Amino acid sequence: MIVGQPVDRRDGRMKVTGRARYAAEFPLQGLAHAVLVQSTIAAGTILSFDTADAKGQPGVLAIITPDDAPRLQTKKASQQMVTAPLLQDKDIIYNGQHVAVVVADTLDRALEAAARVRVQYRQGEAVTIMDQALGQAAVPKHFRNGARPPDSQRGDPDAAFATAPVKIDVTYTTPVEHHNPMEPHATIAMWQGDRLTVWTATQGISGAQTTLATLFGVEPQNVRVVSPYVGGGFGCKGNTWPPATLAAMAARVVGRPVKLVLTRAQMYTSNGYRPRTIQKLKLGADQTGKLLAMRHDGFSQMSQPVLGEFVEPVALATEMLYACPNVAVSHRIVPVNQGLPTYMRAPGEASGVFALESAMDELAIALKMDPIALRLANYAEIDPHENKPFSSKKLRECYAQGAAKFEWSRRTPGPRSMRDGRWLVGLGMATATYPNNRRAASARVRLGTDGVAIVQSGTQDIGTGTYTVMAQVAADELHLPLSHVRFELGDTRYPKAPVSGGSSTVPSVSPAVQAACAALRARLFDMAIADPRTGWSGASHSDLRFENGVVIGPDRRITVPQLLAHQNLAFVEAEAESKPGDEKNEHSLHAFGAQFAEVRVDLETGEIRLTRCVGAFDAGRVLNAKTARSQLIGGITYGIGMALFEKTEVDAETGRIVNANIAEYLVPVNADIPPIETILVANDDRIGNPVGVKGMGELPMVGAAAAVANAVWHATGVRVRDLPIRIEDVLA
Amino acid sequence: MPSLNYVAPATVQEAVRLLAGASGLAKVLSGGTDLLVQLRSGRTRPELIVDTKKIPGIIGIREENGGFVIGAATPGMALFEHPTLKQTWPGVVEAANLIGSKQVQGRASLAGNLCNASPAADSVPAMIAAGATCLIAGSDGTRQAKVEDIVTGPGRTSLARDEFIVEFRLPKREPRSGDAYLRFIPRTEMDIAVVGCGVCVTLDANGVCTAARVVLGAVAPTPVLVPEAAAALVGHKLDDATLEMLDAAARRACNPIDDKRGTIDYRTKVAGVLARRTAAIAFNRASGGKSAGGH
Amino acid sequence: MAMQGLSRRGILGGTAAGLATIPLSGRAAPPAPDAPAAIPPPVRTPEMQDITLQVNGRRIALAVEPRTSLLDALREQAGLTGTKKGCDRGSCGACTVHVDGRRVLSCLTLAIRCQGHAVTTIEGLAIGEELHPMQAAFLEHDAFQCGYCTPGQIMSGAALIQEGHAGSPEEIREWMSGNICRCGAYPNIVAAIQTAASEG
Repeated sequence: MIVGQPVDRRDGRMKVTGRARYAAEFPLQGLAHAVLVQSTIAAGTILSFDTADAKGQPGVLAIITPDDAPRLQTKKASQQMVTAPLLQDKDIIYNGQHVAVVVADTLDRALEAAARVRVQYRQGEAVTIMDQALGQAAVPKHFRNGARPPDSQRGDPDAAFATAPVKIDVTYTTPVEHHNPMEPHATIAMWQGDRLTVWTATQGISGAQTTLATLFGVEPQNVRVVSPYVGGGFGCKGNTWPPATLAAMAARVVGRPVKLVLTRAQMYTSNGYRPRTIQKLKLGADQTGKLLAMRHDGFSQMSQPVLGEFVEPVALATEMLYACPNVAVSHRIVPVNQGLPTYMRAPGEASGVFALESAMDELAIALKMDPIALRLANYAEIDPHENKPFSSKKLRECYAQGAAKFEWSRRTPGPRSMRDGRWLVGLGMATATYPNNRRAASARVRLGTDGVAIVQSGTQDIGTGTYTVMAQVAADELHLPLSHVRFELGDTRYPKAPVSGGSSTVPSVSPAVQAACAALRARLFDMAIADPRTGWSGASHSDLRFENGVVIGPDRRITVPQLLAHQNLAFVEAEAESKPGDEKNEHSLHAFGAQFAEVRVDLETGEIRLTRCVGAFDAGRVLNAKTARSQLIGGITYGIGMALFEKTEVDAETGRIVNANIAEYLVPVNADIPPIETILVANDDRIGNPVGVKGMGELPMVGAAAAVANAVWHATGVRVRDLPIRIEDVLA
Repeated sequence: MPSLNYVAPATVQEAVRLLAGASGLAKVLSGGTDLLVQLRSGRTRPELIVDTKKIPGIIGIREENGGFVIGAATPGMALFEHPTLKQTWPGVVEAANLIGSKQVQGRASLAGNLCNASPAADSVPAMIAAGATCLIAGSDGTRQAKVEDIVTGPGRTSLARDEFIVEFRLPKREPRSGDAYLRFIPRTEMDIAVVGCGVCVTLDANGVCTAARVVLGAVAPTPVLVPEAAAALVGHKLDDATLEMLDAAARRACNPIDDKRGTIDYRTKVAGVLARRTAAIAFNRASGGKSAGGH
Repeated sequence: MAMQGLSRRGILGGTAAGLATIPLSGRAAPPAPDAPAAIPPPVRTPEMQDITLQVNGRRIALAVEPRTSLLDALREQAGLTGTKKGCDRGSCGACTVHVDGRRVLSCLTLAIRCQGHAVTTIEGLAIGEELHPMQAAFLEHDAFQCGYCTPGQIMSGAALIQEGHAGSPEEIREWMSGNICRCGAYPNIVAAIQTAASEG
């Protein structure tokens, strides 16, 4: 078995030698450079542009404004496509909105000209901060793309809460956060007649193909999207955001290939963010800790509706995580003059489980109960919301193995009860869960005379290890050594696969790869049986084996080159699609985890330092122990950033983001991250999908912030309900 | 469009002549780390960049009369790697090695850190505490100035447009004296000081402080020398009562802004705590201990 | 095998005649799409000055404007895209290269200032196909995910050992804090540097 082994990342050599080409790095003849001009007000209308000075600059090829921008087919776009701001009108609805594109022959000249574009506005009324607009809270129109209503209720949570002997009634808030992948979004666009090729940093080449084809009114097959390497996404490269579309527009206008690379600052206004949330939590329990009532009302920041709709689904985990008879959740959105929010690593769960698992910690304190014991007392054996069994759930094992590794038993219950010199020591834990998502995906495999299987799927590797694990799955299915398997992705010429989001890539694509390889083997068997030289006429597939490039049957064997030669073929190929069946109707599909954090807090300065993290996860079958561990420590690190550092700051007056850089928007640096230990509990969930995997990109992020916040309470006695936890918060 | 010219003169006189003769904005390039950021963001649009790197002595450290002469463009990393400077003025060296990342320290110079005139510049409080001076060249020749007299406000210095700093001088360290610098940042590394504190003390044979300089960074528009805090130390040993007086004096000297990096109350409180911790390290060093600094 | 949810959409055989467009060479690494490989002819602006840089042991003649950073000169003009632009403001370390053997941020370095100095980029670290020990250690320890910060991390790590600051995990963490990895590979980066340091 090659699956499961800690195989080195197959794209690793390209990456460590600098040869891996990211979107901005494809050299094209006559490449021009585009730079975005952005609004400096948060609401209003563009009265006029003064582009004379900019146009007079050397090397300028075009200045595209709403006055002369090509019209796009935005009305034909689906609800999920981002169709604004694309220079189709003169309305300003947020500060930093793109209002013009300057194209020049060099980047420096484009920058210089862009700085000289003058815009006159009529300023309108803007509300830039969510908390000022809570009165405008609205019911989402397209919650989960219409798959379910934004609210749910079982039992009578209000009555149960009213009479519960122990109650928690608190509000948690989380800030606007930005993904900040290390690679800024970049697109190179090239038109050849009506055919468009884009090299773009995207988590979804198929979505980019459909969106660009729709907006420019061309056939999807005339749009080729190429994205072999993506320098991180975390959600902000999931949609096809305006910069990609504007690059294609600019290329069409100037009749040359155009490159548009966002600056780091523009990464804060051009491709979404995690919205601010305000979450009201009510938990009621009896004296033994049994939950009697749960209510989770979430409000999340939204843009003006003309940009689309995105809801941070904070309360979905609350519906299913604990066995409680009376539960209600709701989701509301609050429109402000900011850009459209979007998916950011564990959208909904990261913010929502921070609130839920902090509240559970508060409940444990109120009950004088061990936090793990409280969770076990409310362990959901079946999904209490959907009333279905879980396809698999090893959360109990996660608690046990995580607690053992972390030595949870050394924790003394009281706050400020553990010290090390001038440092207060705190231990905290939280539960993690994330749905095991799967979508339809296709793959193709071709085996030639050289014995190498080339497997292709139009999926993406955003750093998650797709190149590596898919090759492992294919190698096992074809009984070939890994050296004889090549996996190719990131090109819309390959069979279609879903967006790399919602931790769905491995659960979606690996079954397709497995199916394509099985189909290829069946094809080889058919060929071998039909081949008069094998003498296997009348044999069935079960009489044959395929190993190391050889078909082995009764009394003899035949190699692939022989088989191909007999039929004058250069290769044999198979393609298969794999899609969810009715497993979701009969089961609830989720991954789980238990996360632990140890913090030290300086008594005098409030300085907070993490000293240890442990995470134990049920992520189904593990395809590659090495890349899986990297995913887990990476997700925990992202969660540490959420807990302690990350917050996008907006100037309320102008709506401008004031820390739009990675010096002032703090993300964790190496010295911030303590030793992290991860455990993957044994599991193989073949109900969820035929490979037995659960996605693990989001999962380790989910419980991290609450584990840290709970540890900070244990160290200091201060309950922080507003992220990030700041030093000021913990100084008494 | 005003085109940008780059010149790397080989002498101080040539550099001064270029600066004095520039029609538009001229910028002196020493390490270049701050200037490049300003150029990229469009915050500054100079017509002339005068790169000082070819001027003899502008990069390098030499010992002179028991003290040190540090070329203005000497990168922070070179201070760290100098064999004796770190033993003599550990606070200055530690502060210079908090400017940006290690890669930035390979370029960023004391002159750049000073002349960028940020209230939070790490090396400046330590230099002031150590009693550093600088040699300034201009059209009228050269002049000496105390480091504390250079920065006049955020982004503003007392240098004339034709002037630039050629070198810094750290005095001979008095017997039984020691310096230290600490700062406080939310992140573990790679951050801008919320509060910084430089302390230099001299002790008598009994451990009683005979002279002190206490400087706070990031709590006012410029780094501030706090004589009241120094007075709290002079005549005393390092005991709780002395530290309490120092803490109070440091807090009184604070005039911080309230911003996303720290509230006024918080900066003020931490200034007192940092003053105590920094003084403790400086006392320890003055009495011959080898106490390492924090970050 | 489990065929649940599977629809076999097509099983195709190809004839030798159809072979022309199909790449069958067994490249170990994922292929670059068929983009033109040539570097576009440089635009000459009046502000440009001719400079010669010594990059990875080779002399490269470039025309740059005085404001052009070493990073942009490498990426946009010399075709050396292994050095990455993450922030362009000296905050992320993705653009770390060596100048005269010391690590510097190429985004904060004027190209024009590098005349007469030896520049080493990630492309110059391996000797032929033989990886530098730091590259090999990054591969072994999976010290990256998306790979975008990786060239900077490796250049920084290689210099760190020269600087003599790879003594302990704590020291490595401090001295590597100028290189941000958003995928969160930090513990693996520390392990890789420890391995490379112990072998060096």
